[in-house]
Amino acid sequence: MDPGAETARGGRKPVEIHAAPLGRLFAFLVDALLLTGVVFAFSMALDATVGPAVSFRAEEGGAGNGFMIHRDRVMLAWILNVALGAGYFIGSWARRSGRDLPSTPGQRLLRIAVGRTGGSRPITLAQATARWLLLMGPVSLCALLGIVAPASRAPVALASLAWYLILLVTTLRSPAGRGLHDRFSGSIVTVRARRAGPGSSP
Amino acid sequence: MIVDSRSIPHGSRIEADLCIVGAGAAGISIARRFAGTSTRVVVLESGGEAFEATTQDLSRGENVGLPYFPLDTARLRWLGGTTNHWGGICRPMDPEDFESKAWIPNSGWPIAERDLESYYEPARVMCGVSSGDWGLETWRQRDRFKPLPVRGDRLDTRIAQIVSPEARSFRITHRAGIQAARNVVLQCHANVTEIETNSEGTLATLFHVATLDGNRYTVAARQGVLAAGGIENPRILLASNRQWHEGVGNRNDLVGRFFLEHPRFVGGVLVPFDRRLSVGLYDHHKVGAVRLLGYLGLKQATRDQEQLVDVQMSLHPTLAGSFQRSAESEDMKALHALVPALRQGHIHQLGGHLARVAEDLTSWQALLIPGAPLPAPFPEVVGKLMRSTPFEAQALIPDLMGDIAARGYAKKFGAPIESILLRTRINAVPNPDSRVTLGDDRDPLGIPRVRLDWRLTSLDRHSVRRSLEVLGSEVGRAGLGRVRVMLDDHDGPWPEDLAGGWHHMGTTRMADDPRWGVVDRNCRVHGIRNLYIAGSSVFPTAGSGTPTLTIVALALRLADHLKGLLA
Ligand SMILES: Cc1cc2nc3c(=O)[nH]c(=O)nc-3n(C[C@H](O)[C@H](O)[C@H](O)COP(=O)(O)OP(=O)(O)OC[C@H]3O[C@@H](n4cnc5c(N)ncnc54)[C@H](O)[C@@H]3O)c2cc1C
Repeated sequence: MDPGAETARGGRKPVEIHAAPLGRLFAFLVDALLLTGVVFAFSMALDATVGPAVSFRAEEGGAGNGFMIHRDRVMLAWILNVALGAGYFIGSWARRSGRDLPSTPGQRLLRIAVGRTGGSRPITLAQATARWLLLMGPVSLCALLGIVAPASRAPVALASLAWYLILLVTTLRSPAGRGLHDRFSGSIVTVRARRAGPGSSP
Repeated sequence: MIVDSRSIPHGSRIEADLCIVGAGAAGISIARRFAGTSTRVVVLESGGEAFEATTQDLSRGENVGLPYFPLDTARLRWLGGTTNHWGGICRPMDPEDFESKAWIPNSGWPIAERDLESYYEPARVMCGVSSGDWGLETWRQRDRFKPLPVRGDRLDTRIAQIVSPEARSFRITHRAGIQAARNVVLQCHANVTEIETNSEGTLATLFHVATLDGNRYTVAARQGVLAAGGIENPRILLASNRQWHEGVGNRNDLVGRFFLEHPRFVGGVLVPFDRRLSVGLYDHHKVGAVRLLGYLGLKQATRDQEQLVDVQMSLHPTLAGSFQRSAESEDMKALHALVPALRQGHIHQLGGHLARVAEDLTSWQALLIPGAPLPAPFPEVVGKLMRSTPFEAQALIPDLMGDIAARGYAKKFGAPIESILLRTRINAVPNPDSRVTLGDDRDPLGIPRVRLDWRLTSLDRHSVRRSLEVLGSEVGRAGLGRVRVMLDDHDGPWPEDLAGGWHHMGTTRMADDPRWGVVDRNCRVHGIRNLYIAGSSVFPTAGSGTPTLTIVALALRLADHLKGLLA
């Protein structure tokens, strides 16, 4: 049974109201946009320091025109960007400060947070890492294989698409909105509790 | 019914009302017209139901004239004949194709277009051509591509249709109809080696048949039709020389002469002023379910005035570097090889092609920043696009999207054009010195192999040059570009890319007077009461269309004529 669901119905512990899938998706989009912007700026900085990862070769007459990929720099960009992404998500989810459950900037905007099931405690670093791997691992792997083995791009892209579909379906079908990534990492996405105040609901 | 002639008892003599030699477009059309009647039809087909190299080798021959395709690759020798790999491009003859012109030696047919008109519709159905509409006007309204905007008083655009690949082979589309016909017996692996006549040479009495494994028998029929293709028809007549040293039907030394092709080569280049000049109409394209191909030609009045033969000009754009590379890339080749590999069950090759296609379709990913949660191109790519003019940006599409997607883009929206090659195709002058004769070599059945001496005339050359000049002046007048004509008017060598259109015509030409033709207007061999010929060997001129639709129309007309005789 879905532990999150039990907690939500049980009533013995503080009630977790799990976040709606659309809001979660929207929050993810905000985070992705934010991170992509940072990654783009990062790439520009890399271009300026170590040289461009991709350059345009223009030949007289245009016969051999085309983009040239500098694999070592692309590889470096991948390592740095994956590290950046991991830092962003894992750091946000495993943060322990204040009374609120931790969340990414996008989640905060949508007033949702990530916590451990069965309680209102933040997830551990290990749980956050597992969650990130399950969520962002396939895209990162796809990008890596695209660099080292271009022939595998299409099958890997199809496999990761299938994985994201599984995550979506399992999230939608779970009463507590816990997709496989939440179940494996023992997390749940909840609606952030409003600060207690006159007229506020729990 | 389809049987294997190797199992017919050696030395037997088969009686029939009608014997057809060859089961290609012509032979199958006649046989199907007789299906379900009381006429006993025997069709003798050299090949089997699949390609066999040993049978195909019987078509090997020698080229001693202008450079030509190896003769064993220029036609096919198995059930369905050459329709097993023809291009499916169809257009009926124009009415003026049948007319005689004083300045074109040996031109003119003894029949007119109205004699064939009613047969083009059933021929269209037999060939699997989608629409019966051949006029430009109908298509102009429905086609997203438009004709070249030149003034229409000297040039016109003509439309051909292309049979879809799955409907092209007569073996596939008509096999069931032949198999089901109880009065038709199609004998595979049956090679006709000789036609025997009575002692006066006025009646074809026996068709001698041999199989490659040594079986021999004969077929006696009230009427006989040779439908073995434009090179084998004269070969069989010439090789039937035991009784008549010149061969059968060759009293006037005309069999094999007047060999005609549709010679093709790049005769000029059009450099457009506008790189986006729309010439999609002149490339294979679809309007609804109908596959079309346009080409240009001089109007009849201009040709008459200038005393030229008809030259059809097709336009082949050379796209801007990157698009051209895409069109010719290994990825595109892999894409094109996918369906044949799938059809032929070549799983090993299929895997390779699929991997190549998949890699190309995902190649755009290489330009995205790796590890970014959303697809974002590298700053250099964005910068390059922002610094480019619209034309330069368009030329980047193959680099950005991969070869296959770029090709799709070019087909759908058009790609910038570098230049347009003008490939010319001539309705060549009938020339008695252009001919098929028997060579010294013999095939495994003991029949002399053919020797082809293909020749063209100075009027052919002059017509190409003038047609291109007229096109050039019209294109210039319309402000579309400049045409460079690459063929001179002297009797020098022909361009190196000179090739035929795989159309073998004229070798048993039709004429009312036996001194000028091998068959009469009903396709009957002059002087022989019961021997007929079907196929493009009876064409006195090559015509401005492609031959197969007319071959089938003539075959159906011949079938109706024979029905009258056999009733
Ligand atoms: C690559 C290619 C592309 C072409 N593209 C086009 C095109 O786009 N449009 C067009 O109109 N035409 C095209 N053609 C030409 C077209 O294929 C022919 O016009 C058409 O097939 C001729 O029909 P046929 O019945 O006269 O001869 P074939 O189709 O050649 O059939 C002759 C049959 O006779 C059999 N035969 C031969 N000798 C003997 C013998 N001694 N005894 C018994 N049987 C014999 C052969 O096995 C064969 O089955 C193309 C040809 C080629 C090779």
